[in-house]
Amino acid sequence: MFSLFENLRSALNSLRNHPLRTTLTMLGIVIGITTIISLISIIAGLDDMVAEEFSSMGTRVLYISRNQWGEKYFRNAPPIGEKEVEALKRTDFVEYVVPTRDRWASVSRGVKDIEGMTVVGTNQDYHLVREIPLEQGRFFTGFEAEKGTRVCIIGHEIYKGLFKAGENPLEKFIYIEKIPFKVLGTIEKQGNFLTNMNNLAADYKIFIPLKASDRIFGRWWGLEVLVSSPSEELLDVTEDECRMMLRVARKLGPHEPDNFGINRQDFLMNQYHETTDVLWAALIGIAALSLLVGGIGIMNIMLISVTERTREIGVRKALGAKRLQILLQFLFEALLVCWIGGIIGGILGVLTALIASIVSPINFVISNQAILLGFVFTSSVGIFFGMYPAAKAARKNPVEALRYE
Amino acid sequence: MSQSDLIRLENITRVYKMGLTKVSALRGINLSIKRGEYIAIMGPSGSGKSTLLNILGMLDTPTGGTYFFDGIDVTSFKDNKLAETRNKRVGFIFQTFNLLPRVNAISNVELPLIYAGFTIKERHEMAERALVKVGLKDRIKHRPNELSGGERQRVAIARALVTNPDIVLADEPTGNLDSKTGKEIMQLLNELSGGNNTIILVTHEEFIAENANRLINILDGQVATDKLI
Repeated sequence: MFSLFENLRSALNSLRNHPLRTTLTMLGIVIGITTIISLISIIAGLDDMVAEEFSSMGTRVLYISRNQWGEKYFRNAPPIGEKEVEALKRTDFVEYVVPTRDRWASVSRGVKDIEGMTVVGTNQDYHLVREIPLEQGRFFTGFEAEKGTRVCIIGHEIYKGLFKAGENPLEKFIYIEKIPFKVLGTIEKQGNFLTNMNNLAADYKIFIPLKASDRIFGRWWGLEVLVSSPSEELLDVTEDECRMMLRVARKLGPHEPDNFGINRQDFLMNQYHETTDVLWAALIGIAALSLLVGGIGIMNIMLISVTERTREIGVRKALGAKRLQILLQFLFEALLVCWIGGIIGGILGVLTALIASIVSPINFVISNQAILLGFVFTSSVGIFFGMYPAAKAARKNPVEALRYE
Repeated sequence: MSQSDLIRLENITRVYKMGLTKVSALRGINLSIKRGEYIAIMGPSGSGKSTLLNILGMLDTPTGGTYFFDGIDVTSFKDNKLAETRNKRVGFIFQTFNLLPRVNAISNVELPLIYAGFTIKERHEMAERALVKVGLKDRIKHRPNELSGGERQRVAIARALVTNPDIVLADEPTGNLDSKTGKEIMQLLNELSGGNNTIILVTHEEFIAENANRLINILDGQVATDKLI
């Protein structure tokens, strides 16, 4: 048997004899694999980050409004109001019921004025359903919510916009649409560009009791009600119970369709995947093209090498090398270039992803898939582009090969 | 066909196509060679002696006729079978040595043993022994470009004999050497063969041919004379 080890040794030897040529040939593969691995890792990191952000909306929370996300907005249905909130509070498998009504408004303090902040009118349980870590102070109480006291909890950017660095904001007054509110607490910096853009993070938000908000802005819009289930496993049950209670509260007949939406955060995740996955695939496809170019480089060099070593092939054949053995010898050379290039590219790719995760909010993820894919890609390139030159070598006529000058 | 014939050629022809014209290099060669014979083939250039040697060494296949090697018709052999037969039963010595330039002497000698499937340890021992026999004990790790012409041909001889082949084919083995070195090489070949191996030697120099015990003259692709000496 002509062992794998022999091929490996012979291939290594031959590559060592042309260090510059080998390095240049390898470069194509290194660049290709670096691009692919770093892209896949960065994308995986991005996905991971997004998943993390979306799950901060709560994996056991239902968002109930007239909007079925991504499907339908029930324009003509009555808005969600007190009646529905009361019904939900009576529902089994429900932990907290938190009505919310958002409104953009300007917020000011003294000469400082910031526009376009989201004022969230809600109740005292909001911070138990959505994770909003307080930096200072406290959330408002049930009593304050009930009375509609003019108190507020402010997001990080609002604190930064209205207060000097290090200034104690507690018990100070800020103005929402010119009406004074007392600051009870501030929220830690939470979001990044993505979650703030999607209004998921609380950095640009200001939380006040719903009753206070309604007095300023009126009940100009239906509520969005956050309902939490006792556990993630019971979320389906909670949803069914809520649906039942809401249908009764909204007096829907047995054959009438729902006129409200019950949503979950994983919808956003799915939507994110739907819109980005094709893009990522295209990106990786383009990166794979660079591997193709690297492969052509390998083929080119292998063809030159086969021609240069015609006499060697003749000698080997005269001494008893079979076609397959010659084929494997040259194929291994191409494969070895690809594998070494692939390993270097893999390391560089992971390093690139690591750097990306340091300079941006993207998470660092080593994707096993990427590594497997990289190995399959490089091997395929090696076999595909190494096969023709290797076959050419194997087919050589020994008499002519020995005569080759 | 007598039992002791190692090689028997029956009406062997070899036609090359060069574009539209056909060139007959061999036109009906009949020849039988016994085990242990030492044969010199002579003839002017273009007479077909190299083609004959290639066919004898199974590097080339004849256009017509039958080639019996050790009683078996090898003209029907496929590529792989020919390679295997070459590996186990034929040793080649070339005018230009044809050593692999990038590897050292012992690796060169090991080459046919790799294809024969010996383990690393076995072939290393066999190759070392062969190199010692040709007097290159101190040159084992040298690369071809660190060796003189005579030493290179000694490596080639070690490589040809290391598999203990039935037949050794030498194509102008002294052609690239000065006459003194050439004589040494021939002496070595004579010693090593020692009557066990069948040796077929192509040369155009009388004094080289004199080492053989049978002289075949080829002219225009046919055996012109065939005599014992």
